Amino acid sequence: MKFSYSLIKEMVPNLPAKAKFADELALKSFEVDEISGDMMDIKITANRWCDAASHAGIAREAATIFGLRAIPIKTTDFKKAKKPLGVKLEKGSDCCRYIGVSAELGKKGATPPWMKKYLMTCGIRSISPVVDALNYVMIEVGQPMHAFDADKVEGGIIVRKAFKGEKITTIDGGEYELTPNDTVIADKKKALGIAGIKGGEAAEITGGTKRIILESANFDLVSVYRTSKRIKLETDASRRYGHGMSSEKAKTGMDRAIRLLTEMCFIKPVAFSDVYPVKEPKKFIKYDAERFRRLTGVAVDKAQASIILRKLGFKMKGDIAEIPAERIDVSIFEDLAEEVIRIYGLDEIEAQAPVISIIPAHNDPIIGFREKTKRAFAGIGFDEIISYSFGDYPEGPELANPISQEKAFMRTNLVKGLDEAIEKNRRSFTEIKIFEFGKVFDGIGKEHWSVAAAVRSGARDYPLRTLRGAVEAAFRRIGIGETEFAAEGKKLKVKAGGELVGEITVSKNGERAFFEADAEKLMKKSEGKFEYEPISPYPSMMRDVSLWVKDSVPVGEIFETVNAVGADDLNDVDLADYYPDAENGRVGVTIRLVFQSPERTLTDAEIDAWMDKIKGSLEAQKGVEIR
Amino acid sequence: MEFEEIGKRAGNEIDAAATAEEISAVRVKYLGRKQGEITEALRSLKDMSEAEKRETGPRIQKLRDEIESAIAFKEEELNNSASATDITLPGKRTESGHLNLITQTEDEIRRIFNSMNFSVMDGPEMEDEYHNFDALNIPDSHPAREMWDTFWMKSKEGDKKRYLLRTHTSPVQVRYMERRDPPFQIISIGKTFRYEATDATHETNFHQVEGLMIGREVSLANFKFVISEFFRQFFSEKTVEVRFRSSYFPFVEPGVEVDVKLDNSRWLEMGGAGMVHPKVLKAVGYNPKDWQGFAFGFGVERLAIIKHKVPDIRLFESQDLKFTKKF
Repeated sequence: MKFSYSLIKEMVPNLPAKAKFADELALKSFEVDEISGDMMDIKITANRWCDAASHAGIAREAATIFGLRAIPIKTTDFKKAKKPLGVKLEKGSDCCRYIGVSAELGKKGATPPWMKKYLMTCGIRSISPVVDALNYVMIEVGQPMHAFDADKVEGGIIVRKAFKGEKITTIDGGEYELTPNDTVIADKKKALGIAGIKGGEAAEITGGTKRIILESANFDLVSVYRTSKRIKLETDASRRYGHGMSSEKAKTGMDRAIRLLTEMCFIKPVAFSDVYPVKEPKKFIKYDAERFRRLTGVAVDKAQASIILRKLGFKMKGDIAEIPAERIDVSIFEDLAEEVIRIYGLDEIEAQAPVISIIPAHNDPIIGFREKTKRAFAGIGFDEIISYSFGDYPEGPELANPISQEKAFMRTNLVKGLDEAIEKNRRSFTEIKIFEFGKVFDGIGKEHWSVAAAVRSGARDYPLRTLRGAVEAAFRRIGIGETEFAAEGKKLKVKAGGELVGEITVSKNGERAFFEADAEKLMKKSEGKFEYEPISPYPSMMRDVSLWVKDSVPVGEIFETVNAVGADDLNDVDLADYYPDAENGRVGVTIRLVFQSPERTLTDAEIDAWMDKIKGSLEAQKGVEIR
Repeated sequence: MEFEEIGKRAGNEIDAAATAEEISAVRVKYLGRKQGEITEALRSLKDMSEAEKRETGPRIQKLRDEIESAIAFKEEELNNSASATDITLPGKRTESGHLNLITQTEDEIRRIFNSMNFSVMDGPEMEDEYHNFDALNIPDSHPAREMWDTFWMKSKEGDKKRYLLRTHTSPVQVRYMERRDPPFQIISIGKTFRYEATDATHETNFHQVEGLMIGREVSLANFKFVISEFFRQFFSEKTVEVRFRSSYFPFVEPGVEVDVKLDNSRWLEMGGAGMVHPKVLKAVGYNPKDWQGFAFGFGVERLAIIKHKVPDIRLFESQDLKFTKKF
């Protein structure tokens, strides 16, 4: 919100220079976003619009912070007008208080240059003396006000809910259709303004206006907020009302306006009405020094607290604080404590180690599992990717307000993000090995942790093999007892500890391979412990078998054939070589078998016997030929 | 078996060789072109059947390679050759995988808080309106809600709850308190979302760390201790100062902004904190007369940006491996 430094200084004459003022204000009250010439852009927090969204409010903060005196603002009691003005608040109109004063304009008057200057600093255009004075009251004391041309008001003022479909044209020419949830200021024939938001054209004051009706009112914050959001019309007034204000302020605003307009236009108040159905009760909170110490860790006694609170406008009787009416944000002890500690100085808080029982920290299990899994993949050369959680997933839960149509759905898998990552990086890296661990979404309010990995490399490097091997290695590192793969069409289903957890797929050209698994299922299978198995002191023996295999025969079947023989002490079967011979429609395959016994050194004769059986089985297989 | 015997014997002789002449003799004996034992064995392959050849060939080859290599190293040793022991040779590049800087930062944050007895909790990224807002004293139709620009999920007619992408990790606090009694201290680290235009300091997908400590007398002074300790360990700079500035967040009272100053440079804004608002405690069924405590929330990216001098928040989720591989 824009403020004029010189106007604040007028109210607090000994105010320090801008920079120092801004620094202290930032520590104890509000951040200052920008200083430009006389203008200070002060970030009023949502709870303090009620009292600090005005120069008088900031002046009080300044006076309190620097221990200075603020000059009171001069007012004229509106009740000097003698006659009653007809004002009616209909039931349920969401109007808390309505002060109306009718007055005759003594002369056209002119806006004084100082007022124009302050308005301009605050980003408000000068329009006419009456409007300028009312806008000035708003920036000065924080009360939004309005003036109607009294001769255009037929009968008295009525505050009521709008009729269904009721139309209104505002003074800036905007046309709005209202609903019975919206409140209007009206006369007996027509709506004159949208309550708390903007005045209407029907009773707009003009150069020819002779008599005016001034409005200083207060409305229910939720009502104003909702109407303003629905009709998409936000004004200085609607923002102030939307944050909530005290009805007591309506009088301050009116008294100040009368004073200014008397000086500027010689207005003569004729009649007034102050409809205030439920007077705001006074609020009292006890300052409890012991409770304050417990909350903040700082000792501030009653006397010290009283000095601070008085400066802020609280009335103190002993340790009982009467809350200033406009401070609707202060309603419990903690609020009062905040007022004291921020002015006393948050810097006075000294670090104090908490005293607690030693109960071990218990992380959610997924936290440790996630870390372990990420480290497993990074440990075998995979780089971690973090992708957006939303994108083009038409099967996924849909966002109501996406940033773009391509990012309108929550992701249902991680693989798509990894594919995009490969696309982004393929020009910089030939071999890409990446993974992601993140949430995927199964429906509205339904999500689960997922883990995915992808490999991209030259076709001869078989990314599928690299990925499958990586999954096996990673699974071992995260404590999966047994990892199995089962081909299902073009997909490879991945089982961990006997349960299906995910799958491996490969792009049509074989350039990219992808793995994804339900991390929560995987976690349940990773909780086993590996037990010690004796390490054989006897040598291992290696044998290679080289084959020609027809393209139509999957290598997986050859491995099955080898395993089906059930050779004793056959410890490992691995693919040692694999190269396509496209011309002849076959693949050269070398399988490496490792034999080892835990009990003795195996003889060549024993192994040869098993090798003969294995070769026999292989030769019997269709499309397989021993090289 | 014969071959193993040859291997063992050759090994012993290589070890025993003490001069260039001796090792040269060993080479001739085993690998000599004319009568070397291994050479002979290889030559004899041609008289074997195909099956025997396939069987024996690779074994002899392997033995030959082993002996060749052992002799070569011994020769290097005896000749005092420079190439093997030139310790100025550049290292051979070894690639390892890289954890995203966010993960590394998260791990570090977790390590520090675990060491201070804070448990780490996880919670949903797609939240309901109640846990993200109402339970945290952020009512509907109040401008305070505008502090969080929100991604809303499309709802169907008849849906009882409105869902959104959590705008902060604070709902994890609420969920934890709903099922646990104090005292306790927890943190939660995770992905959060804000509906806003992206630039060097704003991203729609980012990460937060949230902390909560509840006890009988847990105070702002305790928070200052915990958070100072955290920053000291996290930034590991010579001096780390912490200050509070008055601020407002609906779920705390008093509320503060936390700034740090590293090594006497300028103050940096880190995030919000304060004493948990009694309304929040009441919403989860705690009696605010008995329990009190502090809560805080910081941006994980912001912590990483400051520590590692990253110029742009968008790099973290850019999927750019050139960035990932730098850390």
